[in-house]
Amino acid sequence: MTTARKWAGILLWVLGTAMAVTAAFPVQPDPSDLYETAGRQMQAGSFAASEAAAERLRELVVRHPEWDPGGVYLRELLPPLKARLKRLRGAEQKLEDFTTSARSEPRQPPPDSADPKSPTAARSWATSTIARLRAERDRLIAENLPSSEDRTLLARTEAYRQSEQLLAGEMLRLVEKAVSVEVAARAPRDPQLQTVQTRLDQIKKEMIGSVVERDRQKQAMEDLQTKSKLYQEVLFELLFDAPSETDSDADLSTLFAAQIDREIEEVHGQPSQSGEDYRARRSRLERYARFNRVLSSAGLIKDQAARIRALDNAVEESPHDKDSESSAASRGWLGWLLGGLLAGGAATFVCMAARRFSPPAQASPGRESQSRQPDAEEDEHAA
Amino acid sequence: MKLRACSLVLLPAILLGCAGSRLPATAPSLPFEEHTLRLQPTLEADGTVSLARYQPLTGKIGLRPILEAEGLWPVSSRTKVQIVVNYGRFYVAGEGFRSVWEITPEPGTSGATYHPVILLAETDQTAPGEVRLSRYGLSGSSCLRVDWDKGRAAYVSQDGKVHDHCP
Repeated sequence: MTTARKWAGILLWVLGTAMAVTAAFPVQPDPSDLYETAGRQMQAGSFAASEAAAERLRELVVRHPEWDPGGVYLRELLPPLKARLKRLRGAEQKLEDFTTSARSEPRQPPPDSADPKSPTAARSWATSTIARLRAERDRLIAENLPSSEDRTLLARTEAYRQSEQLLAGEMLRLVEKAVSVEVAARAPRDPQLQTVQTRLDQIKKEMIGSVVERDRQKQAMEDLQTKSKLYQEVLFELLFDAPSETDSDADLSTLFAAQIDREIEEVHGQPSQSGEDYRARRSRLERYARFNRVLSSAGLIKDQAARIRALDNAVEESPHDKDSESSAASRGWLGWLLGGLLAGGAATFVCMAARRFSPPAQASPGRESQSRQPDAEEDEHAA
Repeated sequence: MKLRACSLVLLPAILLGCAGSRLPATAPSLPFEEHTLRLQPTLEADGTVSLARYQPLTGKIGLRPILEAEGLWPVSSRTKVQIVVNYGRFYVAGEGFRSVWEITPEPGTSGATYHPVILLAETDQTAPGEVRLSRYGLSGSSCLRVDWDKGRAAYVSQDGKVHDHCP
C-alpha cells in the first residue's frame, strides 16, 4: 500500500512537471520565425546572431522533422543560407585582421619627408599611405565577396565601421603625429626646418579643423533632428490634445494616419454613440480636416483626406444611443415643466405680495377690478 | 429488319464516338506540390495584398470580402495578415481574425473561392490576439497547422479537412 502511494506520488509529480513545462512553452518554436530572424540579422550585419538563429533552426528541424515537411529548411533553405553566412563571416574576420594589422603597423614617414625644399612630402606620404590602405581593404573585400549585395551587408558590420574609422580619423592623426615628431627632432640642428614645421603645423590645423568642422556639422544636424521631432510632437499634441504614444521614430504623417485609424476602429468597436460623443467626434473631424488642409498644403504630411472621409462615414453610420437621447429628451421636458411651475409660483407670490401691501384706500371694487386685471394678465403670462 | 438491327448497333457506337471526341481524355499526371513559407504581406488601404514582394511570385489577392466578414473593414494600418499555401490552397489569418480562411484559386480566371475553415472565436468572444500559420507533418501529407491562444492548435489536411492532429 505504501509503495503504491509512493508510485502514485511520483507519477503525479512527473505529470505536474510535464504540465508546468508545457505551460512555460505554450507554443512550439516555429522554423519560419527562426528563418526570418536569421535573415533579418544577416541583413542588419549581425552575422554571428544570424548564424546562431540558423543553427537553432537546424537543430529544431533535425530533432522535430514534422516541423519541416519535405525537408525544405534542412535541405533547400539552410545550406545556401549557411554557406552565405560562412562567406560573410570569413570576410568579416579578414577585415578585422586587416584593421588590427594596419593599426599596429609602424607609421614613420620616409627620412626625406622633412626636407625643407619639399614641405609637402609628408602630406603626400600620408595621403598615399591612406590611399594604399584603402585600396588594400577594398581589394580584400572584393576578393572575398564577389557579390555586391554581400559587400553591402559587410558594410553594415562593426568590422567595416572600425576600418573606416581607421582610414578616416586615426590614420591621419598618427601620420601627423609622426611627422611632427620627426620635424621637432631635426629642428634644433637646422633652423631652416622651422619653415617645414610651420607648414606641417598648418597642415595639422587644417586636418584637425576639418575633423572639428565635420563634428560640428554632425552636431548641428542632430540638433536639427531633435528640434524637428519636438515640433512634430507639439503638432501632434495640438492636433489630438494628447502626447503621441506610438513609435517615436514615426513621422507626423504616420502618427496622424494611425490616430485616425484608431478612432475609426473605436467608432466601429462601439455598438452606438451618445449625442455627446457624436458632437465631440464631429468637432474633432472638423479640426482634423482643417489641420490636414494646412499641414498637407505645407508639405508637412501626406494628404489624409481619404482617411478623414472614412472616419466621417464611420461617425455618420454609427447609430445613436436611443437611451441617452430619450433620457436627454425626458430631462429637457422635465426641465421645461419644472421651469414653468417655478415661474408660475413666483408670479403668484409676487401678485399676492402686491395685494397684501397695497394701500387700503385703493381697495374699492372698481379699483380692485382695475388693479386685478394686470395680475390676471401676469397669471396668464406665468401660466 | 436487318437495317433496324444495324442501326440499333451503330447508333450508340456513333453517339459514344461523338461524346468521346468532345470529352477530354484522362490527362496524364505528374508529382506536383505547391507550398509557401509563411508570408506576411503588407495590407494595402484597398484590402489587397501584393505577392510581388515574394518573388518570383507575383499577383495580388483582394482580401476585402474577408476583412468585411471579420468586421475589420475599413482596413487599419495596424492590421497584419499571414498567408500560407499548402497543396495549392491559400490560408489567411491575422490579428483580430475570428476564423482562418481558405482561398482556392480557380485556374484560368482572376478569381478564387473562399470560406472560413477554422473558427478561432465566436462572435461574442474576443478575437485571439496572436494566430500563427505553419506547415506541419510528413512529406507528402503535410498539414496547415494553426496555433492560437497560446497553446491551442488545429490542423487542416491536404484535402482541406480540419483535424485535431495532422493525420
